[in-house]
Amino acid sequence: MISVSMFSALVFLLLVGLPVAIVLGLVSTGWVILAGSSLQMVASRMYAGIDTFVLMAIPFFCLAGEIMNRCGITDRLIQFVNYLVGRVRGGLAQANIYSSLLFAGITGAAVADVSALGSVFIPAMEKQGYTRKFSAMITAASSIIGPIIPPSIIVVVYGAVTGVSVGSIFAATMIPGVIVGLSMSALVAVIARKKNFPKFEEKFQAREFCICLKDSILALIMPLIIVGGIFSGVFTPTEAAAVAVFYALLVGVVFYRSVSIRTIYQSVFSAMRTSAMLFFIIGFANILGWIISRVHLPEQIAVFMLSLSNNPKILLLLVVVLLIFIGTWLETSASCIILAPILAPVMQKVGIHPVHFATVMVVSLNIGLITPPLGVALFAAVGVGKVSFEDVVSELWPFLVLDIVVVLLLVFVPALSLAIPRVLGFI
Amino acid sequence: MEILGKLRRLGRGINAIVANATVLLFIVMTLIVWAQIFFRFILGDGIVWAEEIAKYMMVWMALLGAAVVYYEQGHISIDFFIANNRKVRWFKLFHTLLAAFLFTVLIVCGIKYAHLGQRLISPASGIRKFWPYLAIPVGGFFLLFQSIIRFVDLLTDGAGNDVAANVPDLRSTEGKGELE
Repeated sequence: MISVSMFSALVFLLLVGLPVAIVLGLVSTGWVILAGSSLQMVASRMYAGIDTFVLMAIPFFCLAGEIMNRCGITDRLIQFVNYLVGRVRGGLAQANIYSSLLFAGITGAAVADVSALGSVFIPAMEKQGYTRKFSAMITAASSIIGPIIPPSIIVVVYGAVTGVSVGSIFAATMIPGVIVGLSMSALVAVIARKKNFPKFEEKFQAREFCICLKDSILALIMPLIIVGGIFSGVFTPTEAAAVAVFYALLVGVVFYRSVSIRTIYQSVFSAMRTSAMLFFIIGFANILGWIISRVHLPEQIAVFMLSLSNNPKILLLLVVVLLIFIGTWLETSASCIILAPILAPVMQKVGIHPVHFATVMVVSLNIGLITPPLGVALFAAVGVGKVSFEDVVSELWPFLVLDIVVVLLLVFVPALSLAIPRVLGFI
Repeated sequence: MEILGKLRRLGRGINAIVANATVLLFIVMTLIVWAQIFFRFILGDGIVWAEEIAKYMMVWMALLGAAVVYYEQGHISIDFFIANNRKVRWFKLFHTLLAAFLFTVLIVCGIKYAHLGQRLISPASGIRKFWPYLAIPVGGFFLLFQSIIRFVDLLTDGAGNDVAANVPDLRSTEGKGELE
């Protein structure tokens, strides 16, 4: 009974716009009081939720991405991609997607990707004759690749709240991320032929290409350090992220010479803000997580689900529907923090591999970034592209369908998620 | 209105101090982790206390940072259903009251918890757990302080508090989130 009223209060408070962290705090405090437990539980569970070394990867990843973004690396990366893929029909649209793929290794946050790439691509695409709404839409649609391909913040969050190894999820999300990217690229190729999109006809200048190549390689070493360091077992995710910060500073100060003390301060502040926002939610969610496991909620849900079907794939599919639905309303990491501690044990009981589920969950929640009415990436694209929300959405749906097909593929072919972690010896 | 202006300025001033403290904590935390990696790889032996102390600084950064984000109204929420409501100010008053209640709980049980921590010693660094635990009541204090100022602000002047005014939204990683 308490569980039901607690859940209703949670949903109600969320819908009236109270910040997620505060809702979680209030609801769990209420439960602690009703159940007659010691109020000290609030402080101790909150503390325990934040006091985790792996979470420290989040501020470091944010900081490394911030510094890289402020280095002016965006333009060079984009030009580099243009040289590589711009010559086909619909070249700039393709370049937009592949830039997102490369960017994924640097920022790991979709909204950052939209504003960094959108501010360059949308005007450039418009100049070449694409419609503004298509340009804004493709920027938003491709941005979900960022938080899927490692390093990604939501994966660290998932690992911290469920205890699944971050390295193994990083390994597992690589193939799905690339699949999302390649399938979008294929879809754009089809649309480009139909609508006769322009090619990117800039003259090839060897000297400029070399500069771009050098600068881009410098930037792309960063994700290699992170991913390589974690996969080889040399670094923990936190250490890898700290090294990435060091590398970003080194590149910014020594090679690009565009990083000042002021830039660093702004980057630190901005990364601090993103992390504090997440930690505040994680802290309160940890109280709720403790309550949830005390009332055996995952067990109850597992029993209920097994009464619906014995087929784990079908059950996973049901969860995916739930995740996509919730992802449309609630911010990605917040949904992950609330739902992962409940769903991960449920799915394990039902017979899904924890790393497989982690991958499916991360991808499904990220689709929420571009689903109306509340996709954060869509709003970012609306802001950068100066188009109306309806315009962006009107062009979006083939890409949404595509993403959902990819998730289905991930659900039914666990090998796509599990092959790389297995090869690397994570599982 | 004179006193209100002063109150607002006080809120902004305190926020600036807290914000700089979090930045400092972040920087020191980064240096400690760098040093730890350096010692482990180059000199072959890590610093025993590094991880623990860095973690404690992160806890402090998180709680103080939460107050900074609260001041900027940047905490993640679902605005969709109330954004276009004419009574948005009343919703916000209600939010602020609830938030202030929660922050009070944080202070009260945080103090108790910190008190408990005085008897516990961290295994690696040897400092009393009191110090990291203290982040909860102190963070709670700044949160409560900002929520009271916002409450007064909302009561006296609803217009100056619409969502668009100082919400930095979720784009904090895009490089536009600068200190005012």
